[in-house]
Amino acid sequence: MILGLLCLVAGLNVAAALVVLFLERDREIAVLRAVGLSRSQLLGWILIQGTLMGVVSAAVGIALSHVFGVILQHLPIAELPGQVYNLTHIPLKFVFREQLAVSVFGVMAAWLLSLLIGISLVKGSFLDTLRHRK
Amino acid sequence: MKEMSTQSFLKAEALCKTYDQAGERVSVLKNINLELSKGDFIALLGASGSGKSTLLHCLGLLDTWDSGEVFFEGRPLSKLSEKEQARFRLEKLGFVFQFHHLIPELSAEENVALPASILGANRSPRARELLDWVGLSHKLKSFPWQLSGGEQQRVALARALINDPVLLLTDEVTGNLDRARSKEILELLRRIHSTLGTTILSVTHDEELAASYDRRIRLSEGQL
Repeated sequence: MILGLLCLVAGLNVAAALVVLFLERDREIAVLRAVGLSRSQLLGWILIQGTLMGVVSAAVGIALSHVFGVILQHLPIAELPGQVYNLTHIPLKFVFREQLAVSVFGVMAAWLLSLLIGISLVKGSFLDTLRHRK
Repeated sequence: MKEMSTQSFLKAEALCKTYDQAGERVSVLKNINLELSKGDFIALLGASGSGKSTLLHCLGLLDTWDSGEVFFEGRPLSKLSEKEQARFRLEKLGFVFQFHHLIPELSAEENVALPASILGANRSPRARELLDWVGLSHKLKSFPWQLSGGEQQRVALARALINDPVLLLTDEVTGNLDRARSKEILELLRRIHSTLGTTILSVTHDEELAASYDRRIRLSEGQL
């Protein structure tokens, strides 16, 4: 359940980042197409960029989760009132398999979304984009 | 200077194009027949909406047409695959838009070198040379928003020349410039034509500027 939620959050973050990365750069992409970038080159570029972003996001996310985990477990800032919760710290456990699963899901989501965005971009008319974005 | 010949290398034959406008088919190009020889310096004149930009887009493979054909050095361009069409735009053609379409995050030098990077080539020295040639050697690192309208168009011209195209198509490049800046751009086009031997077809609605070209073609309601 928690793993599923983590995957969902990772996927949504990747989706939002990719939409910003590619769809807001439609004019630049149209310019590249106009000067001679082929559809397959564009799709390849989007897939590489999107997947790379997924890999970097997963690596940074895992690293940050460890940093914050250590902070929460060892520093007094996240102490809990023991008489209320029967706990003095948030119980955290790093399970390598789960982290790997979330990372792999994030990278796969990035790849798939890049593919979908790429297909939509290569199908669109770059001339229309240039006409409307002056 | 490149050798100029009278060989026909760009030809439009019975070119027709229609647009769908509010559910109605509007004929923009009506049976256009046009022939350009290597080394031509031609102005394509016409009122707004006459179809001159559409014709230029078709000749430059930026747009498709409904019927007819465009030949480049005798080769029908509609028969080229999408990849070959992109290669044609990249290697043979230089296109300059009315709204320069420079990438705002890139410097003048990076904008000029951009088409070469698609070929995987590092042509920064050539980009600097071209910017020097268009009189912008002092603006290599400037971003488009730091340049005036005339300077932006000169960067766009340099970008169009980075892969040494044989054909340069310009679409109302002086449309947003004052008279003095327009004349500078025209002089630059003339210099490109005479020095590099590039065939140039320029769309303009400015009769005075068009008078400086070797040949003028007039388009009216989709017909030459």
